[in-house]
Amino acid sequence: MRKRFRKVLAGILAAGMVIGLMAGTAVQAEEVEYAPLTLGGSVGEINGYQENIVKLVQAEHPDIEFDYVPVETAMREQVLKTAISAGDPPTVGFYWGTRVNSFYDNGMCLDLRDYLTEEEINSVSPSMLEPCIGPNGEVFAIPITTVYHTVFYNKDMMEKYGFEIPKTWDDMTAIFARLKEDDIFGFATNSASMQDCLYGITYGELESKVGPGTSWKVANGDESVLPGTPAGDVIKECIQQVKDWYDAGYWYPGDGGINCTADDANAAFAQGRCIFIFNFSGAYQTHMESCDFEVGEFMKPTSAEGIQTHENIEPDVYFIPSNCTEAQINTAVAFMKAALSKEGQQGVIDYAKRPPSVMTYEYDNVPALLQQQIDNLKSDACIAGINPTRTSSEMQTFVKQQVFAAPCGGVMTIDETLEEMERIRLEAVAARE
Amino acid sequence: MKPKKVSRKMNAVNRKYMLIGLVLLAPSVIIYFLFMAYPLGRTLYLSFTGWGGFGPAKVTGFSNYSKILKDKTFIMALKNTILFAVGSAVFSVLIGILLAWLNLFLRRFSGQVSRTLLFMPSVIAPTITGLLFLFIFTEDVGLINGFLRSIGLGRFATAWLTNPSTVKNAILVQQTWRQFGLVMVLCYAGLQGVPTELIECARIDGATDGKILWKILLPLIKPQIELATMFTTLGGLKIYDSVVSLTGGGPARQTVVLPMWIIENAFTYSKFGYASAMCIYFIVVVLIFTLILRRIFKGETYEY
Repeated sequence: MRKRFRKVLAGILAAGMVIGLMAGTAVQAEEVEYAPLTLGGSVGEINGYQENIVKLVQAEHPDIEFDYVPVETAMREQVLKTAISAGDPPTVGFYWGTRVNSFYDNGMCLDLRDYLTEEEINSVSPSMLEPCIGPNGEVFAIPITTVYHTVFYNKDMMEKYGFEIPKTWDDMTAIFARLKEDDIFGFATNSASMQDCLYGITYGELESKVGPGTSWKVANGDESVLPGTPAGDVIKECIQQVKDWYDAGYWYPGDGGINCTADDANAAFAQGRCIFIFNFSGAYQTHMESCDFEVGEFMKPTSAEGIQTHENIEPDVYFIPSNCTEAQINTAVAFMKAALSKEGQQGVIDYAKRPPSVMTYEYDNVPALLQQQIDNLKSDACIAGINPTRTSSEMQTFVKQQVFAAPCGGVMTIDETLEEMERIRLEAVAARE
Repeated sequence: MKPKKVSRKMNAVNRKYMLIGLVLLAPSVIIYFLFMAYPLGRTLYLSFTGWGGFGPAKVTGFSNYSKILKDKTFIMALKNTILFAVGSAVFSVLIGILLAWLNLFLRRFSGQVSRTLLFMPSVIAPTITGLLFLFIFTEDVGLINGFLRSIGLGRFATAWLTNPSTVKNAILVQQTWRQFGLVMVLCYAGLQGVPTELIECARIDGATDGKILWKILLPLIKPQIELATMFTTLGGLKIYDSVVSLTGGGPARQTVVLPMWIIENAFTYSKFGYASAMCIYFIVVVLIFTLILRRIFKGETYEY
C-alpha cells in the first residue's frame, strides 16, 4: 500500500513538473524572438557603416548573430531573387533604390509602414524615399545613404596641364586630345556592366532639349526612344558622342574599353593612365585610399553651355523579403531602426564617406568632398529615378551592358541600339499592364 | 510430359531475391526520381506557365514556346552554344589524338610527365580557367599582346575579348585548351591497347608513321574517339562558367550562351516559365546532337 502510494505521489509530482515546464515554455514563447541577421545583396566587402549598424543592433540584442552575404554587382538581382524564390531569404535585402521596384512588383517586399513609425519614415529625405514608395503609398524599402553617378578627376594632372573643369563635351574632347599626345587616356568607366555611369550624359540633354520631366518619362517607359522621336534623337546624339570618343581612342584601355573590369579601371585611374573616371560617388573612398594624388569630382558636362546637367540619385535601400519568418522580421526591423538612428547615420559619414538619408540630424566631421556631394543632392540637379535601368530588369541589363558597348563595338548601329531599347521598353510596359 | 510444378518454397526464394534486388535498386531509383524525373516533369509543367518564381503559376499554353522562336538573344545564344560545342570538340579531338600519338614515342618517365602536364587543364575549374585566360587576353596588360609587342608584332595586338571578330575565337581557344587533355588520355589508353605486332607488321610492309596512324591506329581506337567526341561535344553544350568568367556574355552580349540566357531569364527577370521552355528546347538540341554523333560513329568496329 505504502509502495503504491509512493508511486502515485511520484507520478503526480513528475506530471506537475512536466506541466510546469510546458507552461514556462509557453510563457517564453510569447517573448520576441530574433533570428540571426543575414545581410544579402551587398557588393564586395562589408562597409564600415554596415558594421556600425550591426554593432548598434547587437548592443541592444547581444544574442543576434550576424552573417554577411556579398555578391557581384552584375549578379545582385539574380542572387537576391533566387534566395527569396527558394524560400531562403536574407533577413535584410540590400539593393539599388530606383530598381527595388523589380522586387516589390513581384510581391517580394514587406510594407514597412507596419513596422516603422511614421516619424521614422518621415525623417528620411523625400527624394531618396520616393523610389521606394509603391503605387498605393506602401513603403517597400528604406534608404540609408545614396550615391549618384559622377566624374572623379585627377586634380594634380589637371593642374599640371592647366586644364579647367570641362563644362561641355567639346571641352572634354579638347582635354582628351591633348592627353592622347602623351599616351594618356581621357577617361575610364567603372566596368563593362556599369555603363549607366556614362549614360547620365543624356539626362541634362533630355530635360533641356525635350522638356522638364522627360528623363523621368524615359526611365518610366512612358516616352518612346525610337530614332526620329524627340527623346530618341537626343539619346542618339549622346551615344554618338561617346562612340566618337571611343573611336578616337580616348576611352581606357582603347579597344578594350567596353569590356574593362572595375579593378582595371580603378587601377588605371590611380596610376594616372587616365584623367577622368565615370563612376558612382560612393567610390570616392576607394579612390581616396588608392590614389596618391588629390581627387576631385564634377558633374557631367553637357553638349553646350547653358544646359543644366542632371544626375540620377541612386539610394542604397534595405528591404524585408516578404517570406521572412516573424523572427527574421523582428531582427530586420531592429536593423532598420538602428540604421535610421543618429548613430547609424553618423556611421554613414564616418565610415562610408557617403551622404546620409536623414538630413535633419546635425553631423560631425563631414569632409569637404562629401559636403559637396550633399550640396549636390540638395540642389535640383540630382533627381531620383531618372535612370532607365528601373524600367525593367531587361532594361537594366541593356543600359548597363549594351547601350554604348553595342554601337562602339560595331555590334549594332546606333539606330538598332535605340530600336532594341524601344523593344525592351514596350515589353516592360506590356508586362506592367 | 506435364510441366513441373514450382514449389511454394521456390517462389519464396524468388520473391526473396526480387526483394533484395528492389532494395538494392531503390537508392538509384529514388535518386533518379528526385534529381532527374521530378525536375524534368516540373520544368515541363512550368514551361506552359508564366510563373515569376513567386506566387501561383498561371497556365499560358504554348505562348512561351512561340515567343522563344522570335527571341533574337535566344537564337544568338543557341548559335554561340553550338559553335563553341562543335568547334571546341573538333579542335580538342584533333589535338588530343595527335598528342596521344606523339606520346607513344616518348619514353616511360618523360611520357608520364608529359601526359600529366597535358591533362592538368582538364582538372582546373572552368571559372579559374576563365580568369586565367582573361589575364592572357586582356588588351592592355595581357600576356599575348605583351608578347606580340615584345617581338615587334605590336600591330597584331588587339582587344581579343572586346573585338567581336576575335572574342568567340578566344573562347574557343580556352575551351579547347580545357578539353584536349581528356581526349588525349582516352585515346592514349586506346592506343596502348593496340598490339605492337600489328604496328611491326605494318612497318615491315613499308608503312610510314602517318599511314600507321591513319590506316591502323585510328580505326582501332574508334570507340575511344567516339567517347571523347561525345564528352567534348556534350560538355561544350553546357558551357557556362568559362564564358561568365571570361567575357560575362559581352561585349554587348555577343558571347552569351544558352545556359546563361536561361539562368538570366529565370533568376534575374523572374521569367521561370519562359526559362523552362528554353530548357525544353535545349534538351531537344542535346538529343539531336546525341543522335547525330551516334549516326556519325555508326559502322564497323575492329577487334584484335
